[in-house]
Amino acid sequence: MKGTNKAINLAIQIFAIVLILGLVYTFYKRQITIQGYVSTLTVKQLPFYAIRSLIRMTSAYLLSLVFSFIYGFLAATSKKREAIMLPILDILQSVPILGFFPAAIYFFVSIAPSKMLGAEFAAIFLIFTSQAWNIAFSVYESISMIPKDIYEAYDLFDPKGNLKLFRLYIPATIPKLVYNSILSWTNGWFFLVASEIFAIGTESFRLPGIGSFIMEAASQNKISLMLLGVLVLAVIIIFLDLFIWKPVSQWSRKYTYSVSPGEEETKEVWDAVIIFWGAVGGFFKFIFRVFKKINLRTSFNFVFLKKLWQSKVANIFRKIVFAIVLGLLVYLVFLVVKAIPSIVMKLKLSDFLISIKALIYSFLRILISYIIAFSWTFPFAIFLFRHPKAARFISPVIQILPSIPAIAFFPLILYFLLPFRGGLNITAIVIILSGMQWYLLFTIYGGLKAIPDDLQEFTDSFGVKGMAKLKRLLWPAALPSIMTGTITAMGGAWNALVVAEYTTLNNKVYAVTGIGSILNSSIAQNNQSLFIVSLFIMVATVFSMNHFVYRPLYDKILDRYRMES
Amino acid sequence: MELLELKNIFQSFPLKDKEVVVLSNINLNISEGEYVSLVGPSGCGKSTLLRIVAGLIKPTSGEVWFNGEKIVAVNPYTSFVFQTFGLLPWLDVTENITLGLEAKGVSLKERLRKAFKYIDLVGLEGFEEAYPRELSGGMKQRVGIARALVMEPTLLLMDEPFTALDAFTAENLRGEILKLWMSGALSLKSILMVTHNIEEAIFLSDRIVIMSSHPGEIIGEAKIDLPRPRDRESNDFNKLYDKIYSMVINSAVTKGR
Repeated sequence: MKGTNKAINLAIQIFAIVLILGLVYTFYKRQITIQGYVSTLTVKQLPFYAIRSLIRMTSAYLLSLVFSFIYGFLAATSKKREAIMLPILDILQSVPILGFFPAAIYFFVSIAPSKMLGAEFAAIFLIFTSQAWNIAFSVYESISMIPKDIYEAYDLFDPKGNLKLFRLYIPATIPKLVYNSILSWTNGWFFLVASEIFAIGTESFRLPGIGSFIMEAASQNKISLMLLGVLVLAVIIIFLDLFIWKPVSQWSRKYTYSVSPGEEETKEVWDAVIIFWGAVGGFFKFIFRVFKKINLRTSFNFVFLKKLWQSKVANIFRKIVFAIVLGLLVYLVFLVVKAIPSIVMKLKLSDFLISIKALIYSFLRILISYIIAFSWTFPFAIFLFRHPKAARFISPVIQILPSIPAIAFFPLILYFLLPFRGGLNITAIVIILSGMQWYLLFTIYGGLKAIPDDLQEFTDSFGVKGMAKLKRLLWPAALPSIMTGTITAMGGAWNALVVAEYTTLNNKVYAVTGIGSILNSSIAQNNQSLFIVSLFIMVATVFSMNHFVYRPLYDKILDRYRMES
Repeated sequence: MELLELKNIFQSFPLKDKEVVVLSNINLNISEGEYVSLVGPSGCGKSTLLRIVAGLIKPTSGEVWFNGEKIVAVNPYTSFVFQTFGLLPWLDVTENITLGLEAKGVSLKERLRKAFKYIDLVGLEGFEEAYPRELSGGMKQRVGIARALVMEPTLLLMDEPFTALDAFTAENLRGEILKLWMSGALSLKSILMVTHNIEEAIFLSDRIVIMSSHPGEIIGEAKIDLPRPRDRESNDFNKLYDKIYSMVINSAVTKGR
């Protein structure tokens, strides 16, 4: 029975991939020229540009939040829906999104009232796709992992489910939702900058924003402006982390099932932040109080809402929505089927050979980056683990560093490395490396810290030290998290490729051989078949590595090395 | 008068292409004013039976009748106390206790009035606004009990309510449950409790129903007529204990586990 399930999953996923690729092909056809929207740079523009970026980020995040909750909720509350929605989510999460960006730009520009707005939509869409899947998974997991006794207790005391959404489902999702939101937000910065500095052909597609400010300053040789841009970006990220995410994360702990002793005492939020919010709080407290009153009194309204949801009108409305979604899906399938002959006609063996060669180059780059990343993060994580005092100093720094998107330094690195031979290759590797190393460090350190105290005390009391301790305790204990870190880092690397291997500075193209660069250059040369072939090869590679290498390996490792709680 | 009637309850679950019979041929009546305990080895389906009475699980076949009414959904005349408490971590003590009332649409004022009455009864004064994670196991179970009582059920169902507590706390809480039950301050007519602790069952109940496992069947009953509070050191107590203990063990031996 499990085997057929797996086969169905695979079929759904392959169908989803074909559908996505077909759509990319279909929308690729609409050629549109896009100009840059960034002109001469001055310091005065910087706040305006930064705010534009922030609005882009925030709208994408809010969109992700709404989408994720609905998607995760629907997937977790019905076995039938779960069987279809989960594999699709899996695909959406593992596909390198940046490869689809060119098609997304064309699509949005063609449907939006103005080109600028279309480009803006495309950027928001890109950031959305980098945030939403992760959060949707967290919602799905939280709801499907509500402990049985709590579920039963809830059903007993509210058999009609009048308050279920507000008293059970939403609160249950909060801790993971917040945790993954922070990850997604960090991830979003990378894609924000990427969307702003994205290059199509020789024409740069530039929306006003902090990322394009940095990139443009670099190409105009204004190094001080570029550094200022990077600094402002870093300050914004750190500020948001301290004043928004840290307090939210602290608040979300209220919703966890249990807190192990000692954990509650860890204070993440600075006193200054507490004082700041205390000052703002007078106002918010008032609002909150009003809100709380409403909250307690409106159980009637909840019932009303639920009745509305179950009413005949709503039922008809749901059927209409379902029909529209189905119709849209059929239409999309139709588009894809229609496109197949023309794709097949255009396919050339040479395109495949070029793509595979590029793939090998790109893969080598990723491999080198991974080896470098691993060979410093693992020892460093062990160092931090063994020296808690040093870790206390360093960990706030290593918590914030990864949230500053490495890609913002791209122009800076390029500026210094370009004059050297192989400088472009080194730049590409550095960009990929800077994307993956923090993930690894973070997860490995987290895995080490999660080693139960009794195991540690046991090895210490038996005098297990040095290499023996490494081999018998630390390495096996960290293995599951190394694997998680590796999968995530690899996923990030494929995305980074698209930006790292190809860029334009001063209307000049700088590119190395690689699949990411082919995706860009094929668009520049309007070589549609090469574009679709390279995209296919990249997606197929990522998908099959996930499916046939990482996943089985991960399951095996987890099977053997998981800590039973 | 019969409060609860279980008629030919049969329950099976599919497991790896096989049907596993959990409960077979269960017939059980509970009268008004009775404190009944279900005792049996683990895996005998006693917790499943309790959930069937509560209407959380629909039996594969058989019927549950309550006060002459056939029960098909969640049983509105019962309330449930969980072994693992089942408190919602994001609600404070008062909110947890009044959840069922809130879901029914009872006004805030009325909810609070009732909540405070039961908070008083179970000894949770001063913890009204605490969150479950800030409470000890004993306090958590007090919340679980108050939450069940506030619904003013006719029959209280308790699924190993003292198993997750340490010995001292459990002993304390047993005494308090008994006191509440004897005082008549509650709307309760009867209690049905699941336990694997024979001593606890003898200490608390009027009648003990003994179950065996694979499949879960009722193999015997024992009436406890000892005056309360019961002395665990007394001869009668120990005789009862030995009798029930051997019934449980024998059933396991004859069935070959």
